[in-house]
Amino acid sequence: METYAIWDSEYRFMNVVWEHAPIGSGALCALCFKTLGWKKSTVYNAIRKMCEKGLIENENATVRVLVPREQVQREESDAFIERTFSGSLPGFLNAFLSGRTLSDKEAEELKKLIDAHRKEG
Amino acid sequence: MAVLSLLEQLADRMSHVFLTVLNLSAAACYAIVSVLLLRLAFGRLPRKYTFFAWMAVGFRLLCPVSIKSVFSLFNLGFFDMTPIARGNAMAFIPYDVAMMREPKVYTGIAAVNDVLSGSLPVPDPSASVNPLQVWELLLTLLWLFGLLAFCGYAVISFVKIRKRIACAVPVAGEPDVFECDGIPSPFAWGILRHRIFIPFRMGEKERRHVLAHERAHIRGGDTAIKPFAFLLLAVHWFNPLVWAAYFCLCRDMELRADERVLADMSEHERAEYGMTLLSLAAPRRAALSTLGFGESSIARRIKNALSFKKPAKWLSELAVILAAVLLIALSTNAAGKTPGSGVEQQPLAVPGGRTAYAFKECLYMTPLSSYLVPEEGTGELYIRAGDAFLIADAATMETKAEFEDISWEFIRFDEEWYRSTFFAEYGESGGSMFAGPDISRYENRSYTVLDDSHLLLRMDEETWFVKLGRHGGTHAGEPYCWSIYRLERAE
Repeated sequence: METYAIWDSEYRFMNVVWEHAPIGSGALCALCFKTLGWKKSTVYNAIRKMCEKGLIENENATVRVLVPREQVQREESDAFIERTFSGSLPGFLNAFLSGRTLSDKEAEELKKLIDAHRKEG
Repeated sequence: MAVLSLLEQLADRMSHVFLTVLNLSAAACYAIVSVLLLRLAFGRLPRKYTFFAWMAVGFRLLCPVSIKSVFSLFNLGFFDMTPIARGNAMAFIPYDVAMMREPKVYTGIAAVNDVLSGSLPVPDPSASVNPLQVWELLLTLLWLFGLLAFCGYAVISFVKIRKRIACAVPVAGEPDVFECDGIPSPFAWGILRHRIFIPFRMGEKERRHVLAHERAHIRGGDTAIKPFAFLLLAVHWFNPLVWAAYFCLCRDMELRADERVLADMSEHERAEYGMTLLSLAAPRRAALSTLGFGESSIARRIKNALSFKKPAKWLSELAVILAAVLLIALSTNAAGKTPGSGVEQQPLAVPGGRTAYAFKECLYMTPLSSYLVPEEGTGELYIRAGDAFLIADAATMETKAEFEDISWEFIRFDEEWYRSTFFAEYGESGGSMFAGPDISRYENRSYTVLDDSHLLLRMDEETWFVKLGRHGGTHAGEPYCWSIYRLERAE
């Protein structure tokens, strides 16, 4: 059985589709606005993306499911962050602005410190 | 030709704006250095108090004028703000610096002035263009380019974030909280309508901590402060101290939000909060934009959480007072106690008394004149004695000219009067040739008549001695400006 990986927000969108398909794309927009607060353009973007991945099809303004819920997995979006956000800033600015990366050793030391306080408290 | 002169005007206007920004930046440097030193000295001071100091820095970066007060930092003994004060504004770099025969900049500390001024290129009278004028134009263009680059960056990250949060989904039971894909850390967003975006699948406890933290940001107005601070950074991008201030401000905002959350927690909960911070920092991810809320300096924040103590009541009361004093000290200008201002500003304050002035600089000399003021000055003393005004040779004290029966009534004037009295010098084409100083930066302008071709002007704290010429021909009798000298109180 082939499995498909999608992100959480897409999974939420697919939940709506699975529940109501087949459904007119206009009606889907209205439904997504009500349940997810999504704008029309966001919904059409999602329809297009899911079509590209082969999960649904959109013909004659009607959205149909091609893949059942059991075959779909939610993907951690961490990898996706790396792809889209690294390189959005020059490297030196990145290091300067974030100051939030910790080395394993630092993280370990902080963990010990917290544990010590936990026992006291 | 019309296009050229329009361009020239635009370049002039932009240079003036740039000089204003430079002066704002210079004034802010003193505030920034004070705040940075203070943060160093009182490392453990709760961050809600350092915010007052940041307000003063923001004010300095934004507003060219301020009221004068005796609490001002600039009243300290080693500052000499006399050449800098321009009414309620400050000009560390004079606006006509590119036109000066001997370009001068001021820091407020006399010894530094000479070193800095000495490094400026001195104009060559035989050359058609003053090197400083070229520099002024080039630097203005460079500044504009940087400003545009910053704005472009802000717009791009704004659009990126907007796109990212378009497909966020609401969290049940929390009307202002949304789960969002592809964000490295939680952040609060929005100036009027506040929303909080968090990554999917956060643990119950982590989410509670994060929401408390982000709501503290919203309550503190940080979602509006941060883009505003970024805008100021964009305008002052050439000033490394403003960069330092920006990053310290961002750090202070995080610490302040933490403080608010920690204040309502038990010691055990504080340790858990530290754990949440650690777990959020653990995966190494790239930083998000400057506009949202990334995290900064996580180790410091964790240690802060673990050692957090509510400040004693007396301490926080003292801190509030100190912070208020600091706000005033950093954001007000020096009170005018120095000669050439203050009491002296009042006309007729010393009836019958003698006040001597020396030549300070020549602000304007008509091109018709064959006399050029020598570099060392006119060598004349200008003395106000009772109802008379004398011009004397400084060396021999011999009276060279005397004006009598002066009422010393100072009449306020506007730019219209200035134009009609000074500008009416007609060139061959019939247009005005007057290229004297721009008086728009002076707030209190008044004049008194010495005789029909001499005036004494009070321009805020400055005293100007003006000679007028009279036209012949078609404009017979109409006045025009011959020369303007700036005088300074002499002993």
